[in-house]
Amino acid sequence: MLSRRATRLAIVLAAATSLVLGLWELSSSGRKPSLRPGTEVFAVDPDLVLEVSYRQGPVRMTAHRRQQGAPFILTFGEQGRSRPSSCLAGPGFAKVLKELTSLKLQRTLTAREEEEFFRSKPLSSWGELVIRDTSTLAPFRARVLPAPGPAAGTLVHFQGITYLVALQGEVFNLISGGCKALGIPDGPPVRR
Amino acid sequence: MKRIVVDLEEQKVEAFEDDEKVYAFICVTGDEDHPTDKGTFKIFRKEHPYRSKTYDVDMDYAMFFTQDGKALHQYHGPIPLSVVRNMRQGVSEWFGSHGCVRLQEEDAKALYEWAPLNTKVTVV
Repeated sequence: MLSRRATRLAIVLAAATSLVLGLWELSSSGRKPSLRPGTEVFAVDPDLVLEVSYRQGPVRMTAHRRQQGAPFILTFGEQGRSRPSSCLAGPGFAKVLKELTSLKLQRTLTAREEEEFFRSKPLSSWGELVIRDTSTLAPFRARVLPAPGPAAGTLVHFQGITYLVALQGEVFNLISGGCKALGIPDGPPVRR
Repeated sequence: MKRIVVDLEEQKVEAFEDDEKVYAFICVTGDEDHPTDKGTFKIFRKEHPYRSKTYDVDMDYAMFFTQDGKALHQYHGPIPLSVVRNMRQGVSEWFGSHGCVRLQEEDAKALYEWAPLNTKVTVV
């Protein structure tokens, strides 16, 4: 290791170099190379998930549990309806959770495609997905929309990029089905 | 079985499939105040692109392996990673990260595409 003086000098030199190279990088930045199709743009171990919330139009779902291994409690509400319904998560929710925690890339939309698409379907009209896990990391937050037209899959937008991922629209139909679709059939009533 | 080994002394990352070495990359790990934890972990979350709210910096191709947010990810600084690595090894650990394992962009991308969730990460 060098002396403290040499270290300071190295830091100053590094800072100066950073400034020059940073300006160069700013002038040459562009879109990143896309990931290989099939790669997960987002994935989290479903066993570590503590909360999933989804909101789209009048549909609201929150699934939460206090700790890893505990069962999820689902709460569904609809805007305009005063009383939300709650239930214990059943096999339907396990399927939804598995799908939502592994978003596999089909392709990345180009900036031009995004621009055209947002004109007809602004992001504010897309669903909002939030997934929180046991770590100290900020929850994953994305806007989601089942792909319109013949394209199978779902559009996912986060951190300024829109991906088409292999998430079937059926997942959102299940969520819209509430406790009947995702809860334990004839399960006990749940206190929230 | 896929596994990743992070060598703090050598500042390198190696990826293995069974006994075959698939990748060997240079890296930069934590500094004295924020050391990269030694031990065996698994990748529990992947996200690309990713921006850290804690440090307000980009961490693309992020593969998290500790609950406090340490990850293998792309290095975004303007000085080439190889230079930073040399400075960390030869000048001061001040040039290290806040505990994450920083990789060159193409290496971070290759590792992200290669390693699925639950891949074992051993830091030695």
